[in-house]
Amino acid sequence: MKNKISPVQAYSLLFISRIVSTLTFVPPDLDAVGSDYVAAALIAPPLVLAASIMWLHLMSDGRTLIIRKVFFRNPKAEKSVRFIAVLYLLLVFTRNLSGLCVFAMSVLFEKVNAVVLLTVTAAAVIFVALSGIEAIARLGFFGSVATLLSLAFIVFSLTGRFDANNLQPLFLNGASKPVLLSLTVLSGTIEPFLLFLMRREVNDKIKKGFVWWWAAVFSVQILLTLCLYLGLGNVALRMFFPYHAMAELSRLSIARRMDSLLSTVWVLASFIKCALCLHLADNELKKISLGSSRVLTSVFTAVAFLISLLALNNIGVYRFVNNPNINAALNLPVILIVPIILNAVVKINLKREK
Amino acid sequence: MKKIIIAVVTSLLAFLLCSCEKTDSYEIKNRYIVQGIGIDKAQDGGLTVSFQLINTDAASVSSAQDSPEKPTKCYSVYASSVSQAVSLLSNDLGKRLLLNQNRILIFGRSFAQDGIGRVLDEFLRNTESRFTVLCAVSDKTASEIIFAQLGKNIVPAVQCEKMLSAGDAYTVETELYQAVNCIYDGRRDFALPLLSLSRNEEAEKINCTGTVLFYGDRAVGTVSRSTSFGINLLLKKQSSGIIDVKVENSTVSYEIVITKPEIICVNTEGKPTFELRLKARLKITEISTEKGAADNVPSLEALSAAAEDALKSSIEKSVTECIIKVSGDTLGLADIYNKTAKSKARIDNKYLKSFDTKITVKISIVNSGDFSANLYGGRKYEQF
Amino acid sequence: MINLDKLLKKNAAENGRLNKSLAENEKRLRSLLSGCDDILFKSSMLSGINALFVCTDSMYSSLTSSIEVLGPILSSGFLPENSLTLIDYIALHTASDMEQKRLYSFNDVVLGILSGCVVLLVDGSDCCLCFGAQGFPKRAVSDAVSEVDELSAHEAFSESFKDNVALIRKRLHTHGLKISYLQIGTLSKTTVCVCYIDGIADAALVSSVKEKLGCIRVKALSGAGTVSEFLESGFHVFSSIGTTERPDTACAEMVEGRVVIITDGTPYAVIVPFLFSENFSTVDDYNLRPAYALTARIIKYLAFFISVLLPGIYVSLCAFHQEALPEAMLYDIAVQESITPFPVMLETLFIHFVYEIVREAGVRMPRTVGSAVSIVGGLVIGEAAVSAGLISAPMLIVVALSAITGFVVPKLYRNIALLRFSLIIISGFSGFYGITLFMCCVVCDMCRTGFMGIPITAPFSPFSLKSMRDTVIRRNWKKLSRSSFNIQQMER
Repeated sequence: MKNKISPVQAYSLLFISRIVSTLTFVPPDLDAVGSDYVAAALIAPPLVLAASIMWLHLMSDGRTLIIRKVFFRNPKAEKSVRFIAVLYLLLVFTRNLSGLCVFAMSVLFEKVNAVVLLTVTAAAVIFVALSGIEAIARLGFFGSVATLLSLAFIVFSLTGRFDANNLQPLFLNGASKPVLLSLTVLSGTIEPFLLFLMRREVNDKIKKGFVWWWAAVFSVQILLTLCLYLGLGNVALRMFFPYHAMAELSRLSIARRMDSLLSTVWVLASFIKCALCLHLADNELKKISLGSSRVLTSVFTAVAFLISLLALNNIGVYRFVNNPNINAALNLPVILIVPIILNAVVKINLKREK
Repeated sequence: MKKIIIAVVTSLLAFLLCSCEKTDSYEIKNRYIVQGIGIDKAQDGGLTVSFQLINTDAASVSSAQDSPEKPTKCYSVYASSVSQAVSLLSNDLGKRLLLNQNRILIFGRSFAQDGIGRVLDEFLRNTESRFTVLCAVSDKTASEIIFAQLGKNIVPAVQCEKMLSAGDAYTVETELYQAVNCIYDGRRDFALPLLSLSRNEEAEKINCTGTVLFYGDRAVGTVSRSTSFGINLLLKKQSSGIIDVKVENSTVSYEIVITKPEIICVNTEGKPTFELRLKARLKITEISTEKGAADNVPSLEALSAAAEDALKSSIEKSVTECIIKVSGDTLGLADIYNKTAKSKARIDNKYLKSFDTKITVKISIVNSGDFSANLYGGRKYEQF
Repeated sequence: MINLDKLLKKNAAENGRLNKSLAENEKRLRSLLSGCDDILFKSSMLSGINALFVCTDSMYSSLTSSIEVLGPILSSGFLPENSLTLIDYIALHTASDMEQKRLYSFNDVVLGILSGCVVLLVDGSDCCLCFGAQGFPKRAVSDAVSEVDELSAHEAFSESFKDNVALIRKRLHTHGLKISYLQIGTLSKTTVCVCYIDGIADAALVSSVKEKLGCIRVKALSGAGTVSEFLESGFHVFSSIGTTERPDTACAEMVEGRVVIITDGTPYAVIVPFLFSENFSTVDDYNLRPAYALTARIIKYLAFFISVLLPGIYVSLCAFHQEALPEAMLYDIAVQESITPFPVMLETLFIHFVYEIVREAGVRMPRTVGSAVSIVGGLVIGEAAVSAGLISAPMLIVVALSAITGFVVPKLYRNIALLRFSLIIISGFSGFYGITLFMCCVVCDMCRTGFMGIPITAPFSPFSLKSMRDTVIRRNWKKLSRSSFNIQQMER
């Protein structure tokens, strides 16, 4: 099989990745209310759009060549840059793997051995990640369809529980908290960076479909945020997994507590995101090729496994790994500063060449 | 090939490991299904938690008709917290309790007066519990309601749930998470139905005899069903029920078909004025004329006007009794004021002692039943 | 231990071409076929020249050979006296109606004899004539057994590859239909026919198939299953190679650019490449109106998912996720399950295992005891097990439903059984979490399965809107006929 995927498949993967980030969102300690989160969900899209466009701009062949020329001047520099990317992917992978297992242990299984759960999950992730980008992309496509349908069903079954009194006017308590929250959303949107790493595996029409992805993701985010606060109210902000709690409200005829359905979707989406991160890390490690890339990938997975195990056994470690402030501090440079620098470098070089 | 082998072997090992330890697989046969929980204040600051468990042998559909056993088994446990009570009972019975089928949470009256906030965390934090469970307050103790014997094949919790969720305008319906929202937000107060147990020779019966108003998490007052009727009309998105109104020489029964309440703060400078609007569609179900009176039924206009007046006065009485006298801001008037006020000053509901209200009720009678001839002039009969 | 392959090769090298001396040829043939008492050698004199007819007693048609071969030759009034022209004369004039070919090597002669042909050797000639007078016992063309359709032809492939080829030829009257013969199996020398339509099937696909078939090194080809395994690479849950026992299906697949492989001795054909969605479509779908075809396909898809997932979901709900059950159902299940001694997972495994035993017995048993097995199976599993409290009634319903729905898609029955057992075990340990992870792995495996760049998940993924016209829905023929579908469109 040719090792290129279509833009639809690539954006399906990114859609799932974004949905996972939304569903696993833990409210930061800002003493904000529901309407602040809704306002943030409205402010964040243009910020993400701007950041994404900067990354998209870099994906044309000419610009990538310039970046390689400037930053990959010698093999050591190239390996260093790729290694930093691998470390970042390790963090993302660890966060998602530990998040998935913490969710499973909090909501589904409380007594299961963390080692066992992690082993089984990691084994399945490795199997999928090493199957190749095409398999992951197709799985992502099916996953995104299943996720959309499930979320639509849950939202539909929630409509009878909405209470407009739960919402307050937007910006009632000022704009500072919504802005801070929107930066939190932006810092969680690492998808443009993942797309940049994936660009060689997507066929030439990579920019096609970007607007659809952006629109779909933020429509779903805004809808879910609205449903969360219309349904649950501010008590959602006191839940560890607010969206899981939202699904508990849903009711349609004899079917109650769609949280089982949401849990399934959550596990599916997290699993695909973990597999994608591991696959991208594997690609970068192959290019570094210090030794056998499979050995490196195993080491990578083992490190993530150990950190996740620590996080599962100690809620403090988990909170540290998933601390929104730390995540923002690490992610914002990657999402905002790096593309600005790279675009500036490219522009300067293009001017020089002229 | 290696990948597959490694994955298979790892998974097998993992599953084998799973089987050596306690797992989270609590099969359905190893669990008792909790239908209702009652919480009373005990001595020494503890709790008396009562559980109503389903006796599955009697409660299954297939065996319900023939089973001589009672449909429920009830237990009371003294503990310092609800979690401890659950654990103690599970240990005593040898089977773990299944909390996610719990239908109703009842607080004893004295416990409610002290404040229910301290027990709510268990129902939110525990992922197995439902926070959509209906809440109520017992006239005396919660265990009295939990232990009620309503008759063969009747599960009290099921009965209570059906009664409270019927949508009747005389009965308030509050789920746990709505109460929690009110307690933690402080933007409004909530009300819970008051349940009483009555006994006769054959069986006991649970009735909803009023509404308990809360301020924060404490019960601060009780009003009758008819008094809380107006508040319920404004609270619920959709109410139902029958109201009887005396119109001229007749007593007319109206059935509420659709209601659409709305509360707006129209004056935010100085003393707030709240406009309480209610649009309702009613259906005439019965017109009973007094004995000896002329057989002239009121006209449609008179009936509409009478219904409007009745609803208006109900609302007015309700607001006065429930909000002003009792200080429970069940309608969230302070929050509405704060949302619409132009100034940054915010008011707390405890300051909402005096405010003006303008009550607007619009009625349309959508259906007068099959026997409609009387509405357009009746026939006169000669008296014997 | 004797290496038969080497021996045969050595023999072939030694034997080589036929000799002009009939005595030598006969001697060599007798030595090669020593111990084969069913080989007949009949000497004769044709126009003063020694001749020898050789055939296999059980494999040739005595009637055909008498009427078409021996009769005309022996009763011919004029035969040349020269050996070289005698062969030509017989071939062209005397037994000219018969299928015949000239053979020059002992290997071919032996193969011809053992294939049921009548071989004529003539003294003084180093070639012989091989007449296709086969008359070995074979099954007539009968109804399809596993792919039963209401409105379509009832013919099915049989064990004779010639009959099968004829069934295909009579449906596709085009010179583009190419049928290449290969022989596979060092001992069995089984004829394998590679059928495709030139100009529609991709040349690279055809050559790849032929190459893979040419690389098969087995002693005896037992059936088309062996061919399938050699064509596939690696183990996958769902295969990219399909089978059919219907010639109309085979023809339809060839029209879409696929290659069909017919193996002598196997009553079904192998199709490459094969998409997963094709397991859910039958020939009847094209004879019914589109709305009914749509309904039928939706039912099949639903039946597949029910069959695979229902037992696992039931175990998960009973063991982990009781909150998802409606109350009335929960009470009933709790009551029924409380009287059974086993955990739900073991109960499910046990009953499915017993069901598979009964099913397998039903397939293998002699027809005369068929009803006895049905009664025992129904009584034992149905009533007695529930009455004895070994299993619960809801469990029985779950098993029955999953079993019946498994037969709605008969081609996938074995895959369904494997997945079902796996899911029962996984759900018993880890509920919906395990089911989700496992199904992700299965779907991932499906996504990487393919043949020559054509994934089996097409046209769902990679998604092709144009191809969806005949996947779940089936557009009417007026629209389908406007543009033709070719399997190469699914290549990525």
